Amino acid sequence: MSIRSDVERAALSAFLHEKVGEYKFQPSIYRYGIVQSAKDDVITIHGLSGCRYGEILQFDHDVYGLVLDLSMDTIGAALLNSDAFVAAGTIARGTGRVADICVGDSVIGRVIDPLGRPLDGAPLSTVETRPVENRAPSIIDRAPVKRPLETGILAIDSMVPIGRGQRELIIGDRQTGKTSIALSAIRNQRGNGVICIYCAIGQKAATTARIVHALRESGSMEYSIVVASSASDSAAMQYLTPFAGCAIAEHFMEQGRDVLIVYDDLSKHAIAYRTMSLLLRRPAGREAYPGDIFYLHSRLLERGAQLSPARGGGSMTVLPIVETVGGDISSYIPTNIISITDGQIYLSSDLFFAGQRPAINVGLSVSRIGSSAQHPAIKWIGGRLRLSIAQYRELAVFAQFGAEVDATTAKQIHRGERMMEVLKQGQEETLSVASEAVLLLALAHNVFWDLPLSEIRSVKYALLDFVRSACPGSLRAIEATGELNQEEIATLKKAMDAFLEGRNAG
Amino acid sequence: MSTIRKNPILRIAPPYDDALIRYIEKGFSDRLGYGVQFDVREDPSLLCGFIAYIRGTVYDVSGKTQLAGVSAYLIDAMNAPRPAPEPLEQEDA
Repeated sequence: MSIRSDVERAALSAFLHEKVGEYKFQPSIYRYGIVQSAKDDVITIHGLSGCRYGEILQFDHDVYGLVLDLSMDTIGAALLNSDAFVAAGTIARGTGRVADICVGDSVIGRVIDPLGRPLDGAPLSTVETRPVENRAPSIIDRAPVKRPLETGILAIDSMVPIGRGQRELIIGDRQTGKTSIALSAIRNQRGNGVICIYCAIGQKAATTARIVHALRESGSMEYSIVVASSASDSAAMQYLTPFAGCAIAEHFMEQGRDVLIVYDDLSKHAIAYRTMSLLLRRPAGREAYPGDIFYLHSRLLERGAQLSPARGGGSMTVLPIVETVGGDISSYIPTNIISITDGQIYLSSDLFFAGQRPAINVGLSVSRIGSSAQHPAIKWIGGRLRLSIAQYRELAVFAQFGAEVDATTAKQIHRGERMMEVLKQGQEETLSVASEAVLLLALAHNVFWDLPLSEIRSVKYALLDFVRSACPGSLRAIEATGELNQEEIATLKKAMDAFLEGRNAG
Repeated sequence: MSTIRKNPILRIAPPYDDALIRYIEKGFSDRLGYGVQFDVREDPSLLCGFIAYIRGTVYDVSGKTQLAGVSAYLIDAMNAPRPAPEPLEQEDA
């Protein structure tokens, strides 16, 4: 705060004198416990008998801990920051409050840690906080998922559509474009009024910095919040990260706003929880995960919802990310989360290395409730796309061995190759609903049929530009209503024919 | 397992003497209803006053904690919205 004049200096001095006079000096009385043991960020404390599960403990030098284990004589807690100052004999103070996070509009555009401390260098002043653990909305508080959440990715919006309030898992091996899909979805919410929250769980600090930079570059930070814990943070901080992000999202959802939250990723979250559980000497189950690992993720993901109009009608769309090893989606954590979510987008490393981006495996991807939220225009044109691609993928396996195929099969493969080319999208490239509808209609209208594969990408964009200038009214109507009537279809097909004629003539 | 401290502890800022300790012990004994005998530790970082640890409860009347309280109170007051200062009266030329 800069003091610009004598007037301000005098006023400030008077103000401080007045406030010091108002301050009531009184003893500080609180419960305490004594640290018995401290190892690997997990401590055992004697005393603090009235402590609650999830309560924040305070140690000297601003070190904090989270109570995770209550027994008759001792409590187990995980340290949230450096344990350098915590040794046997240290005093632990019960704060009487459970872990909470600052919420509100002032958090939008910020990068914070799971305790609400800013990580972007600027001070953060908020007045409202909210416990990180909350009950999920009840059945009566929920409404069906009926409104689409456009990701701007043609393959997703047409074949595995996501609705507002849905939980759609993004799953795949490392380096298959999972985070890119989530970031594209965030980028595409610009101007849609959707608040986006990206939770980086146990990621490399450099990776998080790169993501924040990418969001800033695209202008997406204006409506986004990043809650981050790095790989060097304690297991407890990594454990808290998605819950903190979720609490912020709930705050906006309860105000009747729409929120998109990304948990990147829950495999690391499960590992952090396993670390804490083993150090707390909880019994180990399958793959050494504790028995409540399913409940950990189900209670987190159940908080995503479309609220009923009586509760404000807000929504929280959840995109959890899970990393698989060797494409194995049947291992413990992936199967758990697949069973909790409303569908999954499976990214295949084979497709990724074959140059298909996004590398969505249509056969293993599903959206269980999204189709009821899909724009009618896209639903109507793209309805058979999923089946056609699945058939093409099967036939392509035979074709790659040079097997002779009949004319019908050859036609299907020819068509499938063009469909796959049209579905290819760059990392930072998102499409509007109208553009997606035009591309799907172009596929149905066989606009790309005679084109060589290498030209399809450039022709695709040329076609979109042409249609935009030839029939802007139709595109505006699709954007406004999400629907496509016969008249507009005829207009668009005519424009496509004109485009092809012009191209052939040129 | 480390030894658990069971005796009440008194961290106190210098200067102090035995009479002051006895006085504090008596005050706590009267208030709590049982005899209190402190294990005394000198702690200059408290600036003034003392912190007593008795049966799981901390009684903190140290200068350090009180100053921290004043500091937090003033920061909150500074951050709260307040009216702009009125300009000083202009002196006649």
